[in-house]
Amino acid sequence: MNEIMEKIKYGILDLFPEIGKAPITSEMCLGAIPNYDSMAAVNLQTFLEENFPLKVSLDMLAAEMPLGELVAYIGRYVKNRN
Amino acid sequence: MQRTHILSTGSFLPEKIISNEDLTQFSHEARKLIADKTGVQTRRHANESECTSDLAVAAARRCLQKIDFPLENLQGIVLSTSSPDRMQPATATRVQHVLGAGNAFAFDINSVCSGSSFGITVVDSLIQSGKFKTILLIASEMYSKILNSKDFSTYPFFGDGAGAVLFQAGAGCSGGVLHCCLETDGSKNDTICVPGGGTMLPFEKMPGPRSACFRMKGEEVFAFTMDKGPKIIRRLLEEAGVAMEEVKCFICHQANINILHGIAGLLGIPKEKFFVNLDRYGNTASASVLIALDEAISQGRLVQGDLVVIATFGGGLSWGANLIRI
Repeated sequence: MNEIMEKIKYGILDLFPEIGKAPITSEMCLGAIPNYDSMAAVNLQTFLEENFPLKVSLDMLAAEMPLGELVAYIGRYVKNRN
Repeated sequence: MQRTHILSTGSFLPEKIISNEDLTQFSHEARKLIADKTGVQTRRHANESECTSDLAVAAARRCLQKIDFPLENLQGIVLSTSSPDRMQPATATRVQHVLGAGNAFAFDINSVCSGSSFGITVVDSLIQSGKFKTILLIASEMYSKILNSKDFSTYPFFGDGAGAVLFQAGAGCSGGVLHCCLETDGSKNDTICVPGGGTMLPFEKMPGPRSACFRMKGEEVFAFTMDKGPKIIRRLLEEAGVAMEEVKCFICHQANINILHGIAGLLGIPKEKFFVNLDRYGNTASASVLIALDEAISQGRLVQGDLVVIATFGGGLSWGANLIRI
């Protein structure tokens, strides 16, 4: 799970450099990312689908989604696939 | 009174048509959003080997050949671009050379998407100074090469293209550039930008190549255009003493269909009076209004004597408007 979280952290820092040095935690909601909107959600979706063997809907990437929940979802998806 | 009038117009769009469904780097779910969010159905992309000046030359040739204008009589080329061939020299210099317009001075202006309003104003001022009679204004953009192809907030919305207008001093004619307004709010210079590659963030200090790609804060841009677009059109017409109803056609920067409809609604103008081609070409930055002007004239939507308002908004933040009688 830590590995998934680290990969997502890297992606968030790369996609949204405006986040600066703010801590990226499991409790953080996606809406806390500066300028996070429906366009940004697509960029995150593209990153996730490129880096994990999964399909993730845009509903999953709503501003209210806590990062920890997203990590858990990806973890379950990856585990079931294996 | 001597006015700066339009002698000819031309435009050029690359042949390669990219549909929304062609953008397979984004999910099918995301691709369906493109048309809803912006009205863009297709856009044109230049070939790998082409650069911005190639599109500019093609548009210029169409403009000049339409009236068999002798190149030796061309005194100046002003090129608006925010996606230049190179950092320097001015892209206009290669255009002058390839066109074979050896008697024309050539320089670039960069006011991002509002560059054509600034360009019309500059050309009008040069001609009104009495020092020059005939100047070609070109706006040429190739955003396909300055965008991050995986950035959904920019890549699907832009296209490549160029437009050109030949302006000439005309004594005693009633047509021409009647009034211009330009405004800038430099405090928002980060809202739309290419962060890397200049002196603020030189190439060797860039964290990665994407720093040299175009970025914009979409929601801020939308709010800015909804605020400034209607205001500058009202200011333009009030200062010129022209009623809104007298204007035959409004050619606004082709950024987003929701912006065009929003401005029409705020001004109380039927949206049918707003020229639209962004569904076919996407946002071609500063070239959009000159391409639209050429199409409006070619399609007979604008004929001699008609009043047209050109309104633009873009990085800087900058915005402008021009009132022209065809």
